[in-house]
Amino acid sequence: MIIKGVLAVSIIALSTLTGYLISLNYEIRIKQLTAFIYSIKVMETEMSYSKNFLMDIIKKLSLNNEKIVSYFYKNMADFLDRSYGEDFSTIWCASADISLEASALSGTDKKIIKDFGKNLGKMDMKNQQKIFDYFYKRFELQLEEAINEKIKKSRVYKNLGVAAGVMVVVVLI
Amino acid sequence: MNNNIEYVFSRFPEGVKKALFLMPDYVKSSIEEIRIKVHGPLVIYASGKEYILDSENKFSVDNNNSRLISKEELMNIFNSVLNYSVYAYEEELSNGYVTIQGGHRVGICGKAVLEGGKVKTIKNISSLNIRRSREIIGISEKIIQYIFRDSKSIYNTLIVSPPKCGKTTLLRDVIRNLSEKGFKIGVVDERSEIAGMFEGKAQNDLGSRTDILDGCPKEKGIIMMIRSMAPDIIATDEIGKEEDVYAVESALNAGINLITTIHGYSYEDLENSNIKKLIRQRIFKRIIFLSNIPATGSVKTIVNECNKIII
Repeated sequence: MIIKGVLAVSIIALSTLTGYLISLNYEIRIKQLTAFIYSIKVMETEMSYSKNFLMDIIKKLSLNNEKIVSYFYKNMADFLDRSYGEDFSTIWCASADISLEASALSGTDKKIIKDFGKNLGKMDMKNQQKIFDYFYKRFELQLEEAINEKIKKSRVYKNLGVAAGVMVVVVLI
Repeated sequence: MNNNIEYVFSRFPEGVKKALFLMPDYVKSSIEEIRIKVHGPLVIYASGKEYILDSENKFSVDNNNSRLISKEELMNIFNSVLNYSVYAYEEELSNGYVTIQGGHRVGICGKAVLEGGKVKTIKNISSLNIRRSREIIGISEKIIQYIFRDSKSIYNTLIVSPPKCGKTTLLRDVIRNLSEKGFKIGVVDERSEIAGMFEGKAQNDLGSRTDILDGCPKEKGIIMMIRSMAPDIIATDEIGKEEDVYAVESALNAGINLITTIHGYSYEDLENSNIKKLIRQRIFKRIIFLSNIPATGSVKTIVNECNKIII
């Protein structure tokens, strides 16, 4: 009887944890998107006011940032250091492919991040500003979608985890 | 000082970079220019010779097998040389050139974009000319004695030559030399060629008593330098505009000596130039003529204010 009880509790705990972990991804995606948006705001300020070089900005962004975003910029700085003379957007995309693989970002989020790098540093500040404005809008839409998804699906997965665990226990016991 | 040409090499795409690094040392050390053109060859000028990148990514003097540079490659070189930060060079781009780390100058050609009658930027870039900044410590030693009036002052000096004969290189070493000898020197470096300032740091050695006003028009910079830094000598490159004459006169009125350069071949050229007023007033007591024969930077002659040969 005691064994059955322990087993039941374990099953419920495990399925609840699974549901919680799945729901957590939605929260992490919001965090990562927010961190990325913040990082490009810092980038814009550094570019327009300080006229700092992109490499220095990227190095700065690799510190004190959300883990995945930091990792992305760190890789970017390393790749750039080794690949001067190559196309910037190719280096940016390669860094995104490697660094964001394990992130909670959606395919569309990653595509927008890659697109963002295509014209970075290649134009004067006025046009660069337009690029920033355009991507802020795209990222804001992604963030909005991520928040809605979290509201809708996060609770569903949490409840589903608990319910699935209870159901398995009922069926088995 | 970090004005190594290898910094420039490192900004090229992999294949070209390798070819540049593999060039013999005597060619590398004598590089004057690297010219790159869309759908044209990549050419290096060194010691009066042309070295052309061939289809096997090697440099040769043969023109028959040259490798043509694509638009993408040129843009990659352009972006990379500018540290992938075109926005940081907006002002310089409107002048058609930028000064990069090492003091090297990148000349840019393409379609000029005008705004209010002024060049705002250059788009559709079609060719680049990377001019090496040369720092040759000690080349002023042979001529410095002719510049001194006495141990505490110098003659107003003008260095004259056609382009690419080493005016700026000589001026740079004269500045360093005089600075080390105790003179306070104010350099008005309108085109960032003398000091090669990069992120607030001079890439060339101009001596410990030298203050540098970077990127400022000469006619304004000279006046600013007089008021702000009280130098013994003001040095500037390539005078020739009518406005420069007023600034030079202001410096002289303040008791400051001047060393500068100008394009020209002969004393007659100076008499017909925009600074003829200064020449007629016999302001420059020493005029040094340079030539590229037998080698770049050769002193052809030094004359005094009356065009009387000193050496």
